Amino acid sequence: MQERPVYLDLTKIRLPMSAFSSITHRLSGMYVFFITLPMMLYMIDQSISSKASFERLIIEITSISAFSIFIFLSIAIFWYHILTGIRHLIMDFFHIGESLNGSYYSSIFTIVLWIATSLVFFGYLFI
Amino acid sequence: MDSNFTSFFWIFVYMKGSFIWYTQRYTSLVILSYLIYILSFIFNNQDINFFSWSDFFLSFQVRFLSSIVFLVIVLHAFIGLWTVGTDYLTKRTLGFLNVSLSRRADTLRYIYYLIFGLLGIVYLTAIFYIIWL
Repeated sequence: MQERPVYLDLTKIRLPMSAFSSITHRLSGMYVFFITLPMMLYMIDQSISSKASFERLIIEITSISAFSIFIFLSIAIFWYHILTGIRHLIMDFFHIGESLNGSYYSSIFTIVLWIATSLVFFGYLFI
Repeated sequence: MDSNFTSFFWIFVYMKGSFIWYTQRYTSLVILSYLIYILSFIFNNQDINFFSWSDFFLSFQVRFLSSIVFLVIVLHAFIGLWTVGTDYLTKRTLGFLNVSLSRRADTLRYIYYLIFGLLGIVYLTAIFYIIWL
């Protein structure tokens, strides 16, 4: 008797572009909850505690260091979560781009837009 | 609902799935509006300094708004993390990695619920402390 597959073998499942977009939206959401959100709390706390801590924070995040790159990446991942989230909202509420082709091109468009705007933000923050 | 144990999330037990689905979508719009509001202040004040920023952020309206929005953020996050847990921390998906891990899938999922539930409470306590005290 042929053995029934009990567990999902993920290597046997193809990952289309729209599925990639969906799963990275979930992963970035987890990153935002576990890392970006506490980081934001820290930044809010530093920015409203005192004049000295505010000015220290501004210098820390606008000069290139491991810490400021980490903050930049965390915000970029949050930005990715927002962009893919808007893409999902457009599909859920307006039923635009739900076709196979439509979701493929909107995924590509979202990623290109994310990279472009992140580079602009990088320039704005550090240059 | 995956089992009776989900009553840990008492708030979801009495909800219909569609209500959770809509809550997830509408809370995201609330959070996005809040972010646009805060960022529009920052970008409209090129010579922003500690005093203009803290006057703005610690005004009663923004304190009140932030308190509500952080509750909404944690609600949005709980729904999202709960969905991810019920989708991926299951016997079938963990079996892909390891059979003994798969046997403990339910326990692992409840530990995961407990961790993000407690973290959400910690975040809320922290933001209320930061804003109001």
